This record gives sequence, C-alpha cells and structure tokens, in this order.
Amino acid sequence: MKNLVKVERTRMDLTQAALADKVQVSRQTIIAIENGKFTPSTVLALKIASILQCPLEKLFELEPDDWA
Amino acid sequence: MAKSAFSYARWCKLLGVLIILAGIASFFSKWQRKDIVDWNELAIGCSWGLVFIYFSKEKQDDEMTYTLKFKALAKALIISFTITHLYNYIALNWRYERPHGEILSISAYQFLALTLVIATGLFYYSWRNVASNNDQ
Repeated sequence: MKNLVKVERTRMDLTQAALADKVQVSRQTIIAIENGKFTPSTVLALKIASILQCPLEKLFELEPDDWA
Repeated sequence: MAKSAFSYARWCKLLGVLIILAGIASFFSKWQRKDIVDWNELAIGCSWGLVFIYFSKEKQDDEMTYTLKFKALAKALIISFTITHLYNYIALNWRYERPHGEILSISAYQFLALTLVIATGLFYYSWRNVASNNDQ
C-alpha cells in the first residue's frame, strides 16, 4: 500500500513528532508508515486522515500486490 | 486508542532482568558447589524473566509495537519448536556417548526460554529496521 502521509504532513507543516502526538502513536510509527514499512489499522488511518484533512482514499492507495 | 495489549507495567522489565540474574547466579552456584551443570535451572530463571520482559509495556507502546511483537513471537515459536523437535528427536533416538553436562532433551522451560530469546531479538531487530530511515 502506498501513501501520501509524508506529502500531506509537509503540506500541513507538521513534523513527524507533532503528527505522532496528535494521533497518539510513537514517532517511529509515523516514520514506518511514511516509509511503507507498516500498514496502520483503520482507526489510525482515519485519525491521520482527519488530522491531515485529506480523504482516506487519497491518503492511502492500494497497489496491485495488495490484491495478491 | 486501543488499550495496551500487554499485561505488565514497564517496570516489570527490571523484575525480569533480576529474575534472569538470579537464575544465572543459581546456575553458577550449583556448578561450583556441586559440580552439576543444571541447564534447566538456568532455563527456569531465563524463561520467567523473559516472560516479564517480553510481555510488559514498551516505552513507545502503540499498535506497531503490538504488531511487531506478535509477528516476532509467531516466527520465534516456529523456529524454536523446530530446533526443540530436531534436538529431542536426535537426542532421544540416536544412541551415542554423551559428554558430562550435555542436555538429554529440551525441557518445557528451555523451550520457552529459547522461544522468548528469539522473539525478543527479532522484535528489537524489526523495531530498529522499521523505524529507521528517519528524515528528521
């Protein structure tokens, strides 16, 4: 799954630590999500989308591999 | 946010370390005083200690921690079960002269200790890997 968390976070002028604080996870979790190494739960994805004021389907996008 | 999936408070990690140290001390004490190499004694301390270390909360306790811990434990279980099964099969079925102090078969305590050692290592390794490439 690819995501635009880093792009949208930068657009909102938020640091990784600030976003992590707002969605109540560690900064390492935000780093892992941005790098595509960790797929967040639905609840966390919705929280991130809400903070970044971006539709969920725009923020997270399925890749062909996700259907395999 | 979901409540922590892990039962023990963070300070229980220290308790775990103390239990492991007690197990190691007991192992060496028995070895020196009675010349008995009791691997089970060591495994009892290590397994109890590692239970407290592995199943207590981390400094950064969130859903990624739970996921990584679960994955590490699942992998460790398969690896240690394979090692245990192979060792026990060979040790119990092949008749050969064994040197003094060699483990006859892997006990439940040793299996648990081995599983948790592998799981702990895998967890911290994957945590470092996943949280690397920090750009800030």
